[in-house]
Amino acid sequence: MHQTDLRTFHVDELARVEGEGSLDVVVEGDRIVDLKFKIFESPRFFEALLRGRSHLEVTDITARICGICPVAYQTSSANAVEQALGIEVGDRIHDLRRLLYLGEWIESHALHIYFLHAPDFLGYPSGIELARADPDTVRRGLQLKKVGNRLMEVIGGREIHPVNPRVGGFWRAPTRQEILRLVPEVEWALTAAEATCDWVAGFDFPELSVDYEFVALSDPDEYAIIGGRVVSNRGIDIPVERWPEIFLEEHVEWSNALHARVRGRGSYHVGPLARYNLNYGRLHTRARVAAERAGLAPMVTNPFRSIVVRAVEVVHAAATIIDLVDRYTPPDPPYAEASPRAAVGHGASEAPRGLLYHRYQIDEEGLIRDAVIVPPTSQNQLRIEEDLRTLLPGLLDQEDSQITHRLEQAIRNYDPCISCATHFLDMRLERR
Amino acid sequence: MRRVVIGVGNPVRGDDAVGTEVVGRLPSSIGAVSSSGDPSGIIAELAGAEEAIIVDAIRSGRPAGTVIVADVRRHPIAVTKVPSTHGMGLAEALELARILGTLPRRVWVVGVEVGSLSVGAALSPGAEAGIGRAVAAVCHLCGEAA
Repeated sequence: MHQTDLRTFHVDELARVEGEGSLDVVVEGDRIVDLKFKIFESPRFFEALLRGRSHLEVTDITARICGICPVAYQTSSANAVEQALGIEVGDRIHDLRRLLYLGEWIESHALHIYFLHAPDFLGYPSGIELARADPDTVRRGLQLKKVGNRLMEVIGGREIHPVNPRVGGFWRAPTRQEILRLVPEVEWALTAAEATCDWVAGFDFPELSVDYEFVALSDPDEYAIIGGRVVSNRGIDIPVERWPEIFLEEHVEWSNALHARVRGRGSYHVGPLARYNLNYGRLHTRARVAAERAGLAPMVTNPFRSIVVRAVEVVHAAATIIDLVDRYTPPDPPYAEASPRAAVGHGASEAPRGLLYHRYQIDEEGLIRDAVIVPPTSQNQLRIEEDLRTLLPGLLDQEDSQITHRLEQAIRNYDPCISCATHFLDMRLERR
Repeated sequence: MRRVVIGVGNPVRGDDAVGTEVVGRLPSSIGAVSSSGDPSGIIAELAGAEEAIIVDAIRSGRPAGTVIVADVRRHPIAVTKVPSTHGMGLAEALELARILGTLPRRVWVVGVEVGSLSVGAALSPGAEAGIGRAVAAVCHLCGEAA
């Protein structure tokens, strides 16, 4: 080994991760002196924006927080307001929510698998080079994402973000005809999802096994997505309203984000791996078969295999959508209502990236007094840093560029959605 | 000839809304759609079109509100490691469409140089002026009066 020397790695503007983030590492010999995973998340603007707004606006406003998972925000926010006001939406509205949300899972997971993460495993700098080498596979990924988009369009409405969901349900319920028309696409999506699973299962996975505390929602009747109790593999089992008792958020001085922890313990892991490990028995049969064929055990502790678990969830989503379409009956009325009252409401749902928790304090006129929104990526931030600390010592005999690549790949295991919104085109015109 | 006009923007992030603002101000004779920048959505919109005009916020070091019109077929936009909403920007979406054989014969990007991109910020004065110029540019490309 070298004598003590300081090596620094700096990755600015992480490519292929949604939004902005950077990684700073300082190593002395084989000792990690400093490691900071920085998130340049917009300050909690939306929590402030919600104050003074009507409780009926939460679905519209929070949908704008994330361009790739608006339905997750609409669902968690609606859940919180509905809890506060004692609104029961009923099974048919729940089914329609599941349909829309599973469409979002397909869309988000397909994007991440094909364009953000698979290139890492195959040695391509981006999805572009993957497309050049294997256009048919990339076409399949695009088409799969498109099916997810179609579901969101038909149920959510064709706008930048879905306008149909509202507190209590939906402004308009699609007819059974409109939903049945989706069947051929979703059936194709199921076979494409299974092919995706087979494809990613063949990747080379770095060896890593971590003793995570996994946290996810749990429901006795389904692989939880639209709601449930908050559970972990270390004994947490609580209704959503007890979230603040068990979890806490701490401000980190060098990052705009907050680090979330289990009180008295430490970091935790939300997302597909957590859901899979905690709710394996409730996966759709087709998804369990795909998981087995992909060589996944019922418990997966290697974060690099999260790409396979994501693919299994796409199979689950497509298969479950087919079942839901089959029994779909338009809810009538399409939404439930209740008079406003002073109350605090808690709501959670499983966004593509993991558990998304909302809490609102509503006053007697139905205006929001206070809002707390805890995205999955915030909850994973500390855990991501710890994964990097675990990985780094074993990588130090490699070239800096190889180390950087592996650390980036490890961050992408969590499909982090760091901030939404800046999509501007940084333009350099190449004149040939 | 089938032509698509796409305005790419995020309404809550300051000048990043320019693309959607332009779409909103085009005459109704020009059919246009808004997009959040989702690359696969853009690729889907381009499919089957012979001409495409895409309006987007750009950051190229020019004064805020400057409007540039780029003929992407003749002068491809370099793909850079720029973080964008979905890990892939407009340049990547266009390059992907080209590789997959679905890029229209003629593609114009009408870029409006951004000022502030802060969440919740209103459009900067430069952006407002830029939007007007971009609307005129799109109309001109479509052979319509602004």
